Parts: sequence; C-alpha cells; structure tokens
Amino acid sequence: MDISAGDTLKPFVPKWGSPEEWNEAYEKVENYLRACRINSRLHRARLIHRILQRVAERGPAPEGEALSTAAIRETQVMMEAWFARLLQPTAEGGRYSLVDGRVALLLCDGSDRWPYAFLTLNDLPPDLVKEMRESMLVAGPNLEISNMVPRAIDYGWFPEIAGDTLDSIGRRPFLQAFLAWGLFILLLAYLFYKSRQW
Amino acid sequence: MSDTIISADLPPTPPGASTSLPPPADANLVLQPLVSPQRRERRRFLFFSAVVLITALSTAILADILWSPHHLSIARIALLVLFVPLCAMVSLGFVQACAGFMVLTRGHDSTRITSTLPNPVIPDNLPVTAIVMPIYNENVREVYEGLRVIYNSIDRIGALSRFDFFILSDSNDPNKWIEEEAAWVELCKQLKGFGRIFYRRRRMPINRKSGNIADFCRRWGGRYRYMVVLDADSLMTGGTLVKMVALMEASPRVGIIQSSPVLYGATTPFARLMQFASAAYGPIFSAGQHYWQLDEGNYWGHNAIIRLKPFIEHCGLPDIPGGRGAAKYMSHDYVEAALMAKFGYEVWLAYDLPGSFEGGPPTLIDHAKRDLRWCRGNLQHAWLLFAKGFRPISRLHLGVGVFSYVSSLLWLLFLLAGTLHWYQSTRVMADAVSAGFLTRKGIHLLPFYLFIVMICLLLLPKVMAALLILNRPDRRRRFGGAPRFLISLLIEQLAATLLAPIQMLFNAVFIVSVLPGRTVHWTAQNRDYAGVDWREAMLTHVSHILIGTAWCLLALRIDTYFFAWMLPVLAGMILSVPLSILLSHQGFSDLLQRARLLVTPIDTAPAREITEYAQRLAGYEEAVPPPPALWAQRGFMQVILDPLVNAVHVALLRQRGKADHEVGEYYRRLVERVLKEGPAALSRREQMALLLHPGVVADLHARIWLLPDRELAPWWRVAMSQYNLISDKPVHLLQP
Repeated sequence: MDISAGDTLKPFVPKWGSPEEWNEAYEKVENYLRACRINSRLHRARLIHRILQRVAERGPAPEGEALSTAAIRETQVMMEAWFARLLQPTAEGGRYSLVDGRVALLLCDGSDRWPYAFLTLNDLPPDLVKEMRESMLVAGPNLEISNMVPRAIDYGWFPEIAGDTLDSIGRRPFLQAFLAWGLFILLLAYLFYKSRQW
Repeated sequence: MSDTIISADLPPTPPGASTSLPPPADANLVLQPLVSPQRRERRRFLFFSAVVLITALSTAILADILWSPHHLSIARIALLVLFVPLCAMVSLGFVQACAGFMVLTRGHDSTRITSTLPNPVIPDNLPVTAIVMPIYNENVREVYEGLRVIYNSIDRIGALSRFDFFILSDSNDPNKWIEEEAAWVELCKQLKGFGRIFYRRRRMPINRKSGNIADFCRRWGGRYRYMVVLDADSLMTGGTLVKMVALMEASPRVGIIQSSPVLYGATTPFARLMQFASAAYGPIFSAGQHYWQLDEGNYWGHNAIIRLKPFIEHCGLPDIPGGRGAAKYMSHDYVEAALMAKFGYEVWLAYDLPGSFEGGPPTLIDHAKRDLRWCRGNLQHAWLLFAKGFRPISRLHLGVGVFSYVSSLLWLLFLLAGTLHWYQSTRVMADAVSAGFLTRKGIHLLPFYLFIVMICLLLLPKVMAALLILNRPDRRRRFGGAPRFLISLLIEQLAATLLAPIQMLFNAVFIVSVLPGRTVHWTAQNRDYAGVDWREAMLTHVSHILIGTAWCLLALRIDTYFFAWMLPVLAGMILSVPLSILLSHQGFSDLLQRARLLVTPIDTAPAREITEYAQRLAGYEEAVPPPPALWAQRGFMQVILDPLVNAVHVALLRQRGKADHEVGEYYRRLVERVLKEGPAALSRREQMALLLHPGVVADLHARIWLLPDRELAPWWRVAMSQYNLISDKPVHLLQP
C-alpha cells in the first residue's frame, strides 16, 4: 500500500456522497492533521487530497457510517502503516502501539523538522527514522521502594487530657451550647456587678 | 569564604545507575560536633537571660505603673498578664537582632555549618541528589521556567550528572494537569532532560505537601542519599546546591541544612516592601537566629537539603490527636525538624549561603490567605509542645511558631484592656494616678518612658540592620545609595506601622475561626493584575474599617490623649481599603521603581539566575488564546483532541501501571455525556475520573474524531475547527 504523498495527485471527482458530506470530511481531516501539527499547508493539502481520494476509490462507506468517519479512519490506517514502517524493528515482539508512534513523533518534533515526511513511505529521512526509534518517554527512574510510614508520637499527658476533653465536647453539641451559655451568663453577671459601681 | 567548585566533564549517568552512592571522602568528614555543648549552653544562657532580663524589667515597670492599693481591676490584671508574653516576643526579636549584629560586625563565625565546606568542592565526588518540587495547581510556565533556570545553573558548573529533578504534582485541575504534562515533555526536549527531569502526578493527594514528599520517599527514596526540597516559586543557584550537598557529605551527623532564602520577583508595591524588608533585615535576624539555635535549627519546608535515610525512618507524620476525623499536620516542616533533632540529627541554618531565593505573595490579601494556612499549621503544633523526647529548643521553635499567631489575638486583647483601663482612669481619678513605687519616688511620665523602651526594642533592630548596610559602600550602592535607602526605610516603617494592625485583625479572626474548626471565606478575586479591585478590598476589609471607626469614636469620647496614643493603630484599620489597593497597584509600583525606592540587591546586582528567569518570562510572546469557552476547558480539550498530547497522557498513565481495565457503566455514561454535551457538562471530579483511565482517554480521542459532527456537542465542533488554527502550535506554555 503506497501512501506516499509524493505521488502525482490526480484530480478526482467523487462519484458518491453529497458535496456537504465531502466538505465535512475535508474539514475533519484538515482539523485532524492540524492537530497532529502538520503545519506545512502544502503537505497538508496533499495529504488531504490523497486521503479523500483513497476514500473515494474504496467506494461508499457501510450504511450508516458518515463519510467523515471513513476519512478519519483512512487517515488512521495510513498513520498506523507509517508508524509500522518507522518503528517496527524496535517494537516489542514486532508490535507497537499507535500511542507509541505518536509519542515518538512528538518527542522528536517530527512534524516540524521533517515537514514533508509525515505519512510518506518513500525516501524517509534517515535522521527521522533514527530519532523516532530512539525517542523514549521516561516519567520516572526505576523505583526503589522505601517504607515511610507514620510514626507514633507520644504527645505526653497534656494533649491527651486536652484531646479527650475536646473530643468529648465535640461529640456533645449540648455541652458546647451549655458552655457558650455559661460564658455569656458569667459575662452578664460581671457587667451587672460592675454597673453597680459606675 | 573562598571556595571553588571544580567542574568536571563527566559522562552522563545512565538511568538506573545513580544508586551507586560513593562513600564520602574520609579526609573531609566532620565527625566532631561543630559546637561544644558548653559553648552552646553558654550562648543560649546569655541569649535567653537577656530576653528574660528585658521582659522582667519592663514588666516590673508596667506593674509599678499599674499598681493601685485600692483595687485591682480586670483591665489592670489583663494588661499586665498580656504584656508579659508580648514583651517577651519583642525582646526575643531585639536580642536576636543584637546577636546578629554582633556576629555580622565581627565578620567571623566559627559556628557556621558552612565553615565545614571542603575546599575545593569537586562535584564528581558527590552522590546524585534528588531535587524535588511539589506543585499544586501552580502557574505552569513560571514553575517550569524556574526549573529550567536551576537546571542551566547546575549545567554551567558541570554538575548536572549529580542531580535528578522531580516534579511532584498534586494538581487536581484538569487544565493544570495536562499543561504540566505537555510542558514537561517540552522542557525535556528543549533541555535534553529525559532521564534526568521526571514528572509524577499523584492520583490521591493524601496529606498535601508532606504526603507528596512522603510518596516520593516511598517510591524513589532508596535511590538517593539526599533530597533538596523546593517550592514552586523557589530558585537556587547551581553553586549553592552543590555546596549544600558537599556540606551534607562532610557532616554525617547533619540531617537538614536550611538555606536563608531571599525574596525576589516583586512587581507590586506590597511585594516590594516585603522584598526590601527581607533584603535589609533578613541577614541580621538570620544570623541572630543561628546564634542561639546552632545545630538545633528549624526547617521551613523549602530551599533546604535533607538526609533521606533518617527522614524516611523517623519523619513519617502521624495524624493529629483529638477532634473528630483524622487531621494531618499542615506545617509539617517544623515537626520534621523536631523529629530529626529528636533522633540525634543536626539541623542547621546556613544563613551565610547565598544563592537561595523564593517568591512572596503579591498583595496584602494574598499574604493574609497564606497566613491563614500557616496559622492553621502552626496552631497544630501546640499538640507537640509536651511530646516526649523532643529537644527543648525544638519545643521552643514550635512554641514560637504557635505564639507568632496567638500574639496577634493577645495584642488585640491588650489594646482592648488598655482602652478599658484608660476609660476607667478618666472616671476614677485615683486610677489615673499611679500609686507605684517609682512614681512615689518622683519618677513621672513612666508610661511614656516604657513606651519609648518598647519602640526602641521594635525599631533598633532595623537601625542596626541599616547601619550594617550604610557602613559599606558596595552595600549602599546595592540598595540604591544612602539617601534612597534611608527614604526606603522610612517608607517601609510607615507601611509596617499601618499594616501591623490589619494583620493583627486578620490573624485574630483566623485564631478564633481555626480553633473551633470553622472555615474562613474569601471574596472571589477579580484581578487582571492591575491589582486588587475596590470590591474585593471593601468586602475583605469591611470589618477592619468598622472596628477601626468604632474604636476611633470611642477613643475620642474617652480622652483626646488616648486618641492620639491609639491613632497609629487605628489609622491602619480605617485606611485598610485604600492601603490594600494602593499596595497592589502596578502604577504605584512603577512610580517607586522610577524613583529607585525600595531597591534591593535583587534589582541592582541580581544573580544571573534571577536575571535569566525574568528574561525568560518577559520574552514570551503571548499566543492568542482560544475563545473563553474553549480556554476554560483547555486541558480536557487538548488531551482529547490533540493526538500527540493524548498519546503522552495515555503513555504516562500506562507507565504508572494504570491498567486498561474494563470500562464500567459509570465511565460509559460519562463518555456519552461529554460527547453529547461537551466537557463543561462534567464536574471537575468527573473529568478527573475520566482522565485517570488510559483506555477511556484513548477511546475518547478516537471517537471524537471518528464521530460525524451531528453526533457531537457544538462545543466539540468549535474546538476541532479552532484547534491550532490561530497559532501553529497548541497554546504551549514553554517556548524554546
């Protein structure tokens, strides 16, 4: 399957699907390629053309499937093939994931540094191949587990008594209320007493 | 101190190889205590005797002033009782400043931990050290640029292979989380830092920052001998970091070395005031603090190096006793220092080690919010004052921390008691005249003299600090020259006088709220960084204005002289709103800058790292952000739409062992809602739940693009058409 975008692009007129459906598909693929950071508009335009041409050549999508869905699916098929060509020798057990491919593309800035290489199988730049294969995401070094657990602190007698007291008060709302009222009454009594002397 | 760091061209340390810890060079080991117990006890005896002497004499004078043979009023008793701890705090500060002045004037202090630094320092003799930066919903650009500056600084001296960097995230905002991941990848690409700069986001942010660090210790603590803990706004120079590691290597008894960070990055007038005070007075107080604490210092939670083995063994913090539910220590740093000391490890303040910086809060209200957190944390330390096994100096550190907030409430009560006493004195003539010994002996105006003594205790430290600066031409220049420095001092003192009562009221409210477990609510910010707006200031300070005004009227009614006494305190309260706004206003800051006032060495002779950091941030070309509706969900948008960001996120989750287990009904419902209604239909918690499942994230990404527009929420259609449209990259935070 030759997905080279360097092929001569033959103009095509779709024989099925409405113009609105093809517009939606075009826009969707363009948005997707832009999200993949394919910033070269020339290359993006070629890729869109190629992708939609392949969709057109496949014929109408299964019933119920939107044309834009078919277009994105075709794009992803092409991406899988491209990543397979780039990463296959290093993939574990000969398999790789689309996630690995996209990560490698990001880590080596593949879309920026080789603007015309995306989804191109022929004449792949050797540097791109090398860097894609060497890119590695390492979030953390190897674990070396230690046992850090809370150690009990002997707080002594005062916090123990204070803690029990506070805990008792906290669990008894009526006690809290009585304490508050008691303080208020004491204050009132003091003011009453002082006011006799003023 | 002339010491040299010899750079070495070392081969890069491959991942996984840093567990080989070279033994310290025996010749440089400091095995004897730096300070003999006798010298330590002598110093502390002299120091605290001075504090006791000043407090006792001042209290005796006040007691004499208040003495009345006829009756003891509640107000008199309260004044006397409250005066003792307040005077003790002021005296402590004064004596500390005197000690610092003496040390700095002498120019030589053999009890510094830095005196054990090997000369030269050879980085390739040092073990690999972890630099950990716990973050929580921070400004990602500022954090990562700070990390870049530190990385470059270490690289310049050829010591990069001796450090691993860990970004430890507890962020629970999807926008921040995805920004952090994307920015981490960019930073590693730009610095070629894969395998040296690591990123970990904790799934369950248990126990806040201390839990974050503990999680690091559990996962990777066994790989390293030391870790340097940084805050999100910390900067440290490579030379300082290498020296701290060398100091730890030289002294196996040392558990923690705390640097003395200087404030930087001030842009608002309030921040400039704090930065000025930190630069002008910080050295004298730090040197004085070291004078008495020596090898039983404190840890401030950042810009410090810690010996990992004893930290892991002894510093796992338990729950706080008492109360309902398990509460955790918020200010974990003091407790960890106390535990290190308890188990025989030294904790030092390297007050003379330059190259350590931290950011500060930009406005008075931000400062108060930070104070609330610290108040909560410090009050928790009250549980530890009687804990078994703690060293007395550790208890003192904890006690001073508690009292630094409680003193605000005590000061408020002191002022209230003073008001009551003055009122009573105007009603009862006998109360107005002191029956004390000194008065009867003909010494009048005692209250005035005592007031002058208190003012001297408060201001003399600043005078001493000023003398140290004015005494040297290079230091004068760094503060903008002698005339500007003196004017800056006056401005700072005026501001401090007006702000102190406001902070007193804030802290008093915090104490009263925190103790019974209530929450303090803040007005929502509406800042575009022209500063605090009137609405926020009014709503935050309305109680201060009311209290100040009522007190003012009361004071006027009592006595004109009393009103004059109270005016400096009441003015701050009444003017709190304009003060808050003025001190946050960029225009006023620019004016100060043009007049070269409140200038510090950070402005005139900044370290290369400070300049580099400021240049990096200033050099950013602001990308045009997407429309607000998209911007509000930018993290979710990026991770679902962007094939590359999505892949990184999924890869990171899978690296952490997050299995692609079967997607249950809960996730299926969330996915349908987000597709049909957009991400705003989910709560933050639901978004986080989705983002934690690698299978769901990968699947969502695929479905978003495969689904036809008619089956997607309008939000997604707009997001897809706008993504990377204006900028040729996603709204990146890191530029090369």
